[in-house]
Amino acid sequence: MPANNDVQANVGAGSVLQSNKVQSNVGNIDEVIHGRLRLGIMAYLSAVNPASFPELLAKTGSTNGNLSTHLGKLEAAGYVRQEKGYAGKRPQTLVHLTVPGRRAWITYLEAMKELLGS
Amino acid sequence: MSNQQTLDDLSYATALAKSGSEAPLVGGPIGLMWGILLSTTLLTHWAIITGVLAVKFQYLWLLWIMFSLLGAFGSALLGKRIATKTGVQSMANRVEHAVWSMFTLMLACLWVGIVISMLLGMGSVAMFDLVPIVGFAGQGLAYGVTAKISHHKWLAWASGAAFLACMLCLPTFGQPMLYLIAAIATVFTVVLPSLKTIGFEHASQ
Repeated sequence: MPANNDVQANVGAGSVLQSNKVQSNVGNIDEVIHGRLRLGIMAYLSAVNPASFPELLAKTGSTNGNLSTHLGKLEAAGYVRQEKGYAGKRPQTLVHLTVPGRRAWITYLEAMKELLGS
Repeated sequence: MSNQQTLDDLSYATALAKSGSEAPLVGGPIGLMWGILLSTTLLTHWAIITGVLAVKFQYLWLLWIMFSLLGAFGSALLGKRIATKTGVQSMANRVEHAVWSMFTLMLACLWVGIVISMLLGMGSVAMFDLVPIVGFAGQGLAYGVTAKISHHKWLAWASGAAFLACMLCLPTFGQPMLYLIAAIATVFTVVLPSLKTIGFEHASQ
């Protein structure tokens, strides 16, 4: 049976390891995706791809300007692509989840799973 | 960002992903339009060939050309409205669109093949009876695939009904009765499932 001091030392080492693991997992979290609205956009596009701008607006409950800003950030990272065109005579913006975007989304989910599980 | 906030954000993202993956099928109005049109055309065809309607047989061509034109026009019109609906690009909707487009292409190829045979003097008018029979088999397949992807049980029933209609029509090949059976069966295989799809879409909004 180990002495109390040994147990405390082991627990301490375990905590340090655990803490290092958490920090390492936190480092894996993609900051471009890790924002409430951008997370929502990526989640919806993972199921409905492409989605129109008004559709994303309705689903995320965001405002025009806010959605545009966050779509811009995702587009700059290469995760989404915005296609401006027409639906009949009306202008329409379609937002596509790109291949790197889908890959980043899966990596993000795996990192979150590890982080929350650790 | 606190743990609770992260969990809340993930719940929000999960809800959005679910709402996308469970987006209702949006093709109901097109199905309903084709169902009503097809059922009416088949019934008119039966009425002409049995003499119930005093119209010359030659007008059957006009009847089916009108059917094709009205169907194409209606599809284009309704398609424009559907294109802006929420969830139109979900997996289930994309599969539904693809499978019914291929179904239309398949029937068009069969129809053109029969016309070519007739023009070459190698076929008979009875060959046109193949179209509704193959059509029901194709419907069964299209509904079956869509039911599997969308998890809608009523579409599996529609698939079964269409396969049953195919089996019931085959023994009446070459007889006017085929068109009457096909007209009635279309109500069960196209009109009712389309109404159910529209009802589900409205309920989920």
